[in-house]
Amino acid sequence: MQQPDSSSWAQACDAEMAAALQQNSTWQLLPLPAWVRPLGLKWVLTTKSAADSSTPRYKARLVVKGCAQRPGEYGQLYAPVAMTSTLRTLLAKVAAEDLELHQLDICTAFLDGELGEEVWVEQPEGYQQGGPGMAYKLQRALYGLKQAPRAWHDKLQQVLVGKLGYAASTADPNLSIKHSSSGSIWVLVYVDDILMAAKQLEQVQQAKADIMGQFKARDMGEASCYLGLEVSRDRAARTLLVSQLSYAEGVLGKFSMPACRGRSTPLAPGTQLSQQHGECMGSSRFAELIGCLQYAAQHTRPDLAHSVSLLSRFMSAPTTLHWSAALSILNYYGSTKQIGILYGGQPSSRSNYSQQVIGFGDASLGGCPDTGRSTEGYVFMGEQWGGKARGSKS
Amino acid sequence: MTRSTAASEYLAAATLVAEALWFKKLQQDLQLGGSSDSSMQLFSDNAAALFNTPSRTKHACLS
Repeated sequence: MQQPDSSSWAQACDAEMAAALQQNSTWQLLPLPAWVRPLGLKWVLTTKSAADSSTPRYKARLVVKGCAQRPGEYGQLYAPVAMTSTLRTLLAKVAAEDLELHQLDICTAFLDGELGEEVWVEQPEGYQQGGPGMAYKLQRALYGLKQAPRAWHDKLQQVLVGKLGYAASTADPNLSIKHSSSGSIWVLVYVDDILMAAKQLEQVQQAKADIMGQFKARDMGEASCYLGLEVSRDRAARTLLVSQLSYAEGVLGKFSMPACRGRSTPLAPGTQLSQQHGECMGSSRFAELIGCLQYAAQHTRPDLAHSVSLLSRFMSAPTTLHWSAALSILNYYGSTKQIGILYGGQPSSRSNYSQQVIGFGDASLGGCPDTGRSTEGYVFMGEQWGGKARGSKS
Repeated sequence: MTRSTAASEYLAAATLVAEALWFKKLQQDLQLGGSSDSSMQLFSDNAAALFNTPSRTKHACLS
């Protein structure tokens, strides 16, 4: 290591080895059996800029080269994450009922997952001991392992449901609920980011302490930025605004469109797009842009949902026309990047807010010029709490 | 593939109802709307599709 900051990197690697791996009894150093092919390991080095200091934080993470794992070496891999509709509905409830909303971040979550299979890994670079022929047998999951997300999800559910007395929601398994004499608490889990909502602050503190007793976690206090969604509240007016301003700025920078002249709609009304028109172009840049817009549309921008879903049909073979349509959505997105969804408000109904959910559905017959298929869409509006939109083909 | 506006509107309405039923479960788990039999208002803008909606359905209660 010749770089001036090499000592910082070495320290970061030492910290990862000591704190995360050895304290957690992640593995055991054993002679490698002749019939086992150990998986390779790799250091992933990143710098993270903390919001409150100018010096970057050096972060080293030891990962397994999971791409070398073959079917048969692992079982179930699917790990669910909380649905965005669930998240938004929870936020709407928080706004309407003026609940406490706090956030918790589990440190090195995947290292807590318990493995069902026998997995051997090589010794990490720079930390070899015991001579050749020695390798680590994993007792816990490591980052990069195919089964790691699932192992962590199972472990967390086991603790929440088995030890802490939560019940998983039937609508979304990542929403856990606990009713007790002091009131109810709702816990939403997105991999290692946990959001908790309850009426009383003490309940939230208690729930945090319960979870922190089981896992090493960082208390992020009142939720202000969850999964890149910026949450700002006005408790007096009972409103909650979710937006993705910094995400939008990242996307605009990535596609070099920092200044937008602005459009009033994402696509011109009545835009018809087909596979046949325009010149073919590479699909990866197009797919990347659509993916970025889709993430925004799913979370805080239902106004983009239809136009993005329309363009996503051409993901496999986009043409220059599709690309310019995608850029016009980006242009609209850029000029309206600060808007989000506002929940709550309406002081007249504050004491007894309307409890009816209203849903709208519509269809357009044969909207797709290539296949003649129809397009359908729907949106739900709780007077104050739900919002959801999707365009899909049928 | 649908061949009439009514058919595609009807399918859209069916999707809407399916989502509404899911949303209702979530609503109960989140204790929104208080009682469990809180109704929902669903809107579709096609008269033919609405006319074809049976008054008795197997999985959802329509009124």
